Amino acid sequence: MSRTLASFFGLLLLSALFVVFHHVHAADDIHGGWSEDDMRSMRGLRLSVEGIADKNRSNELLRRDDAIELGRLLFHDPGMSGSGQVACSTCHRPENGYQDTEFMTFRLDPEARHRAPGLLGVALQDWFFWDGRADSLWSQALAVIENPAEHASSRLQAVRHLCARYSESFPALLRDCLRIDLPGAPVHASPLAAEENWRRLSAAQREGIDKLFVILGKSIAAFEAGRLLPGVSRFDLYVDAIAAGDSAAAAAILSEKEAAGLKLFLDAQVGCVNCHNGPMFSNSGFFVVATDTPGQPEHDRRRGIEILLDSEFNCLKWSEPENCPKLLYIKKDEAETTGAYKVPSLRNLRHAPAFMHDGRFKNLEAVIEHYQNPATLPLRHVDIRPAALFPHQREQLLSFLNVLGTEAASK
Amino acid sequence: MSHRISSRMIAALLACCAFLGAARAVAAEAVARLDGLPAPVLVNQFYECLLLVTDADGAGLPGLRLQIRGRMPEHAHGLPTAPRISEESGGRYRIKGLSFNMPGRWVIEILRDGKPLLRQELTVQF
Repeated sequence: MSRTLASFFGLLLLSALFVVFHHVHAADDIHGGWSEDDMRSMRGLRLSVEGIADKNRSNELLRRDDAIELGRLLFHDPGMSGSGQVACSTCHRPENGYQDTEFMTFRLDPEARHRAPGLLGVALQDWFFWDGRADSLWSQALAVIENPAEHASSRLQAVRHLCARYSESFPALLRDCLRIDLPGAPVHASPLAAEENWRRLSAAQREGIDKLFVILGKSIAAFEAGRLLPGVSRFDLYVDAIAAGDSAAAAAILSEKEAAGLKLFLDAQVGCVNCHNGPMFSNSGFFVVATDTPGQPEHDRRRGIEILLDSEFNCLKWSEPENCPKLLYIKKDEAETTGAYKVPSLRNLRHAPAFMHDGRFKNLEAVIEHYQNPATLPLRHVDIRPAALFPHQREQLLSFLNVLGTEAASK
Repeated sequence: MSHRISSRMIAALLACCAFLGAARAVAAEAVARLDGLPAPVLVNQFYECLLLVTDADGAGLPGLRLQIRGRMPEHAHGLPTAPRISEESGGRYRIKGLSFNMPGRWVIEILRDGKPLLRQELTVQF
């Protein structure tokens, strides 16, 4: 009997020792126990802006200093807008990571179906707008100017303002301003925003306005590509430390909880990294994540493709086919594009006031809760499965997402 | 008499077998293989590769109507792009616009007149 008791207590002691030992070494394990697959994933997520040139091949002004400076001025200039009150920076607030912190998207248009995203690293995207209806950053800027819910302007007004205000300061870029016979009236003309007035212009005027309008868009894009770049985050420093084999340094960069969140993020079964991969934590894809509203008109990927193919500013209309592989090989599968939206970046979400394409969630907790058990209708195509995370794992994941801001200070 | 009949029957049977064998050869005559995909294949890159289609004797089969499709068996979606196949010469076909936006196991299928001609698995990495 006493021998049985001794065995029992012995086992109990061993178990207790195991628990203590495991706990003490958990910290070492989490920072030192990354697999080769994990390392490959992390290296792929490490911030790099090398891809910008390749992703902006249709913008020949990308690296020009004068275009970057003109783009900076235009980004903050409300003079192109219909009311004279709205600049790009009205929604994309520079002091808040170029996020729409004041919900200006919805204040300008209460019926707006999409919210303005943050812009740091935007030039690393393949597609623009939540439905990807623009295939270049420069054509995205042009669409905003002529959108009645945003700049509410027209290309004639924008070009007239561009030439009047900037042609002397930027002669190399805007020499066409001197050659074009811009009409003094009407105020607006565009095939989209003021069609009747546009038709009354001569073919030479229309062509000249379009060329200058494209220079305007390419300059704004050059500014965004050259200046609106994400900073190095604690995650990036962590990857560097792990790649250098310095788990002590790594442990000083991420807490155990944050590193556990990273591990969950990289777990293919949890699924985050399947779509949120690459240096901006987005694979530039479009997926159905149970956020559409069946039966209601949607600006989903299916509609975005229709608009893009019809757009007078898509890549193939203004550049050589070799610069337009995304458009050349665009996928049109209706089953997979209905209700699909672009995978957003996960970097710099600190100032993000809302999440998902329509801003339906006001915090990341609600987003994770959505993925925990996405509500789907029967027979609907959907690309995600319930994440099935325990409450403490959801907290770990959340703590990791907060690591992806630009603040590179220690924890 | 009965001997002659059975000879004829055997001859007919042999002819029938020969015909069936030939039919099988026709059905299995096209041999296809993909060439030129690097290892490993990485996410979010555009790839171009060659598709070689020959008959059983190794002669190229030109003029085929081919399609490509791909999917991830563990997921609900297909390829992120719509790759195109163009004929080069004598059974050589070039596939352009192939891309994969998720790591993991993918299956590429080549269809000839809507029927499977080639199925190839590959693992895509970061």
